[in-house]
Amino acid sequence: MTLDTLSLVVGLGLFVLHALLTLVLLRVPGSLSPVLRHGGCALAVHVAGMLAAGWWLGPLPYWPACAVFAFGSVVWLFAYSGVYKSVCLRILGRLVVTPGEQLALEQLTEQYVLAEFKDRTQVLQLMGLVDQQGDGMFLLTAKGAQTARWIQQIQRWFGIQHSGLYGATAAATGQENGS
Amino acid sequence: MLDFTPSPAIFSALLSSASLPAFLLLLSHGPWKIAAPGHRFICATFLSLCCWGCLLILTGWSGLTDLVAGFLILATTILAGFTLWTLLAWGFTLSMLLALQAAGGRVSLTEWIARYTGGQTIDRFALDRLGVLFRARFAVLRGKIVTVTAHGRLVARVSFLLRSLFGLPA
Repeated sequence: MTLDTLSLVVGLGLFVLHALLTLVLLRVPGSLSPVLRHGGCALAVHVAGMLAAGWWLGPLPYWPACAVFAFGSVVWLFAYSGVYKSVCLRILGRLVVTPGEQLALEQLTEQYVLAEFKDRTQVLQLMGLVDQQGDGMFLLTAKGAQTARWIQQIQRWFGIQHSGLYGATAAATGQENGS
Repeated sequence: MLDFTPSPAIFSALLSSASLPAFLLLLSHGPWKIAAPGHRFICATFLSLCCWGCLLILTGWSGLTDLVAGFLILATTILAGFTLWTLLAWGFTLSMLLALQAAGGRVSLTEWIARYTGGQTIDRFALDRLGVLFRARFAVLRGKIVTVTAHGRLVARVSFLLRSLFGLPA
């Protein structure tokens, strides 16, 4: 086995260890977000694992191991994020366990689509970007306004005029209302 | 002891990875601008892959392992870049924040939704959110009833398995 191949095998082994550890870490109660748990675990396993492999196996090329580990970790996070956040998959799951495997559009709108919008308003509030006032009205905080300006600046750099499913329509409506 | 010196194929992959945001910037302005963000990312990815191919021809590679490692580095950058790109161009929460900013003051939930959807009704919004399921043929809409298909059933089962593996509630 060449040193490059050995390094690839080390990277693969470390990825498997990281995947197993995340399965444990994701079940530990606590306020740390799942993405930070994935990221922290990947960093710790990579640094400690590579140092140990270098010490134990002698001179070892770093990059092949890094390539396999990074690719595996990103795909693992993709798989997790897909099932964790996807509303479409949640709706599919609900449809499958419903008698007749069907639901009225109105029910899905109320229980999932509208609920998802409300959930995101709470996320924005938790991040301190939006404030909900006593009368139920929503208002951008100073931090929220600053973050929005920041995002728009990055969008301008990358030539993105409108974001979201209705970017162009929403912008046009905004202009009409403004004029 | 770790050897941090990259082989030519890996060095080429690192350079090509760095070229991805540069190509995105290049295709975002001026005469080369590609209007649709999705097409723009695909073109930038293609150019980065071409860049890697050209550098490989120039610098060579030391074996299959070297080639695989280089490709994985570039693939990781493309996947991570795609995540950030989708967030910037279509991110739901991000677009909600920008819609609230565009409203320029206090809004109710209904007004916020209307601002986000550009005045579309909530039913239209729901249909658009469910559009992915319909386009992928995981579900069909008959009248006002959404029904799962055989493909959708399979995807739902895999999703259940993964949720259980990750310790997420079913």
